[in-house]
Amino acid sequence: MNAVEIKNLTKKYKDFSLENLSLTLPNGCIMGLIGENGAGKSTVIKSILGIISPDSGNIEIFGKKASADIKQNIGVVLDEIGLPNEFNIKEIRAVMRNSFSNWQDDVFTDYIKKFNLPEKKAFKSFSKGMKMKTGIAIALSHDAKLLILDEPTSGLDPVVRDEIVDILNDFTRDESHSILISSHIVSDLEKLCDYIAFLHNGHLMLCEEKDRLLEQYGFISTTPEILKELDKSAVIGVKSTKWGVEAIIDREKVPHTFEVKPITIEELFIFMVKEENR
Amino acid sequence: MKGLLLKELFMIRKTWISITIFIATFGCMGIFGGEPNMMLMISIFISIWSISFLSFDDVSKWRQYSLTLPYGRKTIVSSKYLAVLLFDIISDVLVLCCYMISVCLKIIDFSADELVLLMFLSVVGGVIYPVLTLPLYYRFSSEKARMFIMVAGGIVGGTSTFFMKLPFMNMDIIINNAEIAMFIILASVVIFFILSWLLSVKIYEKRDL
Repeated sequence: MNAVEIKNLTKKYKDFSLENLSLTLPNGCIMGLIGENGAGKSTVIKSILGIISPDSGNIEIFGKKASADIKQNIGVVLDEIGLPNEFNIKEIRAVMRNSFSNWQDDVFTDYIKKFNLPEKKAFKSFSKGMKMKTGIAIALSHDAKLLILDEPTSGLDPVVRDEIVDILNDFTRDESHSILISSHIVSDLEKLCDYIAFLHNGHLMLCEEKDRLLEQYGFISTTPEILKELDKSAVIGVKSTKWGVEAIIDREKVPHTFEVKPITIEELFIFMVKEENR
Repeated sequence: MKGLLLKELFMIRKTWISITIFIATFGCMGIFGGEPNMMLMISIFISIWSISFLSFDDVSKWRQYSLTLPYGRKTIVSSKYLAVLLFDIISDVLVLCCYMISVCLKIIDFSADELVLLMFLSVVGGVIYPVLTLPLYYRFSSEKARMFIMVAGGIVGGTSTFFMKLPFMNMDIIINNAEIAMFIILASVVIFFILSWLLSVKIYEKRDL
């Protein structure tokens, strides 16, 4: 069974539209939704959670439509944790304990201690990192099988980001656990994800296993003349520099004589977006 | 729904100092001034107060976050209406206590008719504002809803003066048939409460947040 299955999702706004997006997150996997600001990542996540209604398309979580029962198994962290500003950890705990049927108080306590979150201070006095950690502690304290995270690391310092990535890695040690995470900080997702989906201007550019992408694509530095001789379909993206051109290529489609260097997901994404924007 | 109701109670607890001062002020004015009408301010104030938390929800983005919790939209709306009823009952008990204290202190004479009327007005006064405001809140933001309700309040106030002057609006008839009038008003409030709840559910189920 798939953790998340999206078919032909369409949502139109005045100045933006998400067009016919289909995406499948297999159970036990981590998928990273990568896209620049306004690419449609939050629209996808809000549609999955029922925060917005799609114009058309079908979304299933564990083979069912999103409902209150299904949400018992989902831990969610949005880019802004919408807990009441006046509440302290004790009150947040009481509300959550009475909301989730499988709430684990001891797990929540452990996370609060691990994150050094003050129990009596108001949520509004928390830093962005502390707020995010509170949201993650809630998401991980009710035996969720699926985590849906919308930009959980944006605006955080590198140390906190790294901590969060470690926690998410721990969560996925259980093979039945899945994560759908969106971010424009590609390096975080590169550390974490099995699958990568690129979103750009409301459409899905690619959705593939991360390792396959890293195997398939490579990076070359050459001259414009030599690049022109290559099969056009081999070139994914090109950037001109003082000394020539840099390009992302499909390894299988270029002669073996080329010195092809490994790429990062971030480079692949940037080159693809720039190529698309041309 | 228990978690959502608990959240509402915590919200009111956070502002207990202001609420206590207000209740004490109008309670004392009612008790020692021998003015039961003043006691009604408690019900009206608590109902307005409980709805004012909606703007806090907007600021904290609780509306979006609550949809990530295991609750349907209908449950979220229903919990708000249930909280309104709960706060109405609390304020009715407070009004009753104030009246009885005033009687015990022999500031006012006990009158069963007066007490029934007072409790009736307290029950009705405690739900009128939320019943009118909640559907607007679920349609718009809390700020816009408040603006609409102020405009609506002005229109109702202005037109009611006009209607009271119409020949068939004879106050003597209403006073002489107080029990029937109270029954009609109470039944209307119950119907409006249910309609307001259904409308809010319908609006909120379609709304993108």
